[in-house]
Amino acid sequence: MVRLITHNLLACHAKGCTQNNFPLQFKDVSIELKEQEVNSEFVKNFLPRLEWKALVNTARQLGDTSLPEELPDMVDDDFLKALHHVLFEIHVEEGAMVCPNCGHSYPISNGIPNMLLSEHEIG
Amino acid sequence: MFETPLTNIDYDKVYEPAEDSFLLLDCFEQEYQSIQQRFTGRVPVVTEIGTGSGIVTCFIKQNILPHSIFFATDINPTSCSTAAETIKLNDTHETHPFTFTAMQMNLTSAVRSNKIDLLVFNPPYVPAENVPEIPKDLDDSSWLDLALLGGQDGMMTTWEVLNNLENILTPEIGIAYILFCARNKPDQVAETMKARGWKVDVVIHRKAGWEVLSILLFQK
Repeated sequence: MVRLITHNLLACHAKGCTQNNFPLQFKDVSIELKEQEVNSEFVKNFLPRLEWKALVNTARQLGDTSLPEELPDMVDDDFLKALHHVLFEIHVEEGAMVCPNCGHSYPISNGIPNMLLSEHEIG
Repeated sequence: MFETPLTNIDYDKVYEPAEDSFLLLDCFEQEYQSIQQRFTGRVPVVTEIGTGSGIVTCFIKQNILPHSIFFATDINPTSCSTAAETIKLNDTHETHPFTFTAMQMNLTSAVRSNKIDLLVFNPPYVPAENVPEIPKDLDDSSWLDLALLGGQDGMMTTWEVLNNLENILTPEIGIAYILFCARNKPDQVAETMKARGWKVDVVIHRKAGWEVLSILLFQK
């Protein structure tokens, strides 16, 4: 499954597509919510490596508005819980990820994204 | 001694764990402490290229770096579903958040630059005239060739990764474990990479049938 923590680390890699190729936009998705035990340390440790704006906007596109626009200076338990939910518990099982720049669509089927390009699209 | 993960594989479509896969497991068992130390206080992004059955990533998740973000890439769609299945099959006591994503991808091409902390690659290392083309049909019997045949010196695919390693790994922290057979001329590869500023160490080597396999560790 594609979780938002995974999505935060992917970008379009089609030929010549080097700018504005992140974050990919979810399209026609079917989502499953799966509870997972919260581990605050894990979330806190990865926090500095997240592209915050991309994460917040993507979560909002998927209907989750729990995260603040700006990354807060002080993180409390409620914030970490909301972040945990967004990163780990939203599972995109079907749909596609579309590049905001070149429009290339990467399909997701049975939770597995297909990031392959055809020969002429490879940079 | 750590347990070897269970697998449930369609051997006609997905590379069956063999001596090279098991050498990687032994390599990570041997490297356990230094890897743990290296990533203390960090949630590492672990990526395996050409995951096949998923056995190596599964072993790392279970025994070496449980609190990590795991990506397993493979061109072969059946490998992707098999790797996901392997993770599920062995996940008897999931008490911590982890994330494993199998992705149909060439090498690490869709992962953003400089994000991978631990790269693992058991490449198609058998010398051959060409690297095979990607089959169109899911039931094509040539998917397995893709897991084996590495073009000239068996190094075509491995060089694609090595030439791009600086962009793949996180600066200063990232490391890569890559498997070679003797016909890949790993000594020459190590010299070339050293000349480019990499530190290269042979972590483990073993005679396996008529092949001599080794795993090299690349770091800055």
